[in-house]
Amino acid sequence: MTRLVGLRGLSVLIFIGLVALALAVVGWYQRDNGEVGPLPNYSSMEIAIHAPGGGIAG
Amino acid sequence: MSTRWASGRPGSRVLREPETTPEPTTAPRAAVPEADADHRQRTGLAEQAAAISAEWAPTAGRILLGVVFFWFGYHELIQPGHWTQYVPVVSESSSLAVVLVLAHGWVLFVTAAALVAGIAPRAAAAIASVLLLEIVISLVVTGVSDTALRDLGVLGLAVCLTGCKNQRLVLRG
Repeated sequence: MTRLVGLRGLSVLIFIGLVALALAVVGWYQRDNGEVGPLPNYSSMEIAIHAPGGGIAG
Repeated sequence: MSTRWASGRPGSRVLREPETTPEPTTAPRAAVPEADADHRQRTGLAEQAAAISAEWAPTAGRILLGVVFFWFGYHELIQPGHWTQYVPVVSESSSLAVVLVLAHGWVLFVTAAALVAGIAPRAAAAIASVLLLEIVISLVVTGVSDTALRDLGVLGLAVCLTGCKNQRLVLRG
């Protein structure tokens, strides 16, 4: 193997192989399409907005 | 021609005639060398371009094929769920399909590095050919599509690179 690719080539391939392995681990944990869950609908929430006069608006 | 005239007998009248010839006869003679020089220059440029192309085209093809492999390998690694539909036989929703896609992406990624960096380029191109052949077969099994034909062309590039001995930017040692 070393004779075919050389010492530097083997080093590069091992490094890239480890990087690819790390990416595969990342991919495994987001294997369900890697999509983030749907955001909550904030418009339906009651958010209290404090008015400058001290009262509560909204 | 001028060399022959210069090497002629010094006292010869025949040799002096071209010097005393009227202008109309000398004008076409001046035009011919210009056209000849232009033709030579064009031929020289074409030959130079051909030489550069012959020297660098396999390297350019190898690096571009590596970029394609990098792109697909990266996306198969970080988003395997998008690629499980292409796995033959195995169920799309199974974990085995995800593992197979990840393994495929890993091989693509490492092969891409070998192609771009020029590490055993012919062997890397041979591995790329096998990978692409597998991709083309798996696509053709489900029916001939635009994607299958495009990958067939990329397979042609990989096969061509497998036979190219003249490679630049190769990592040796």
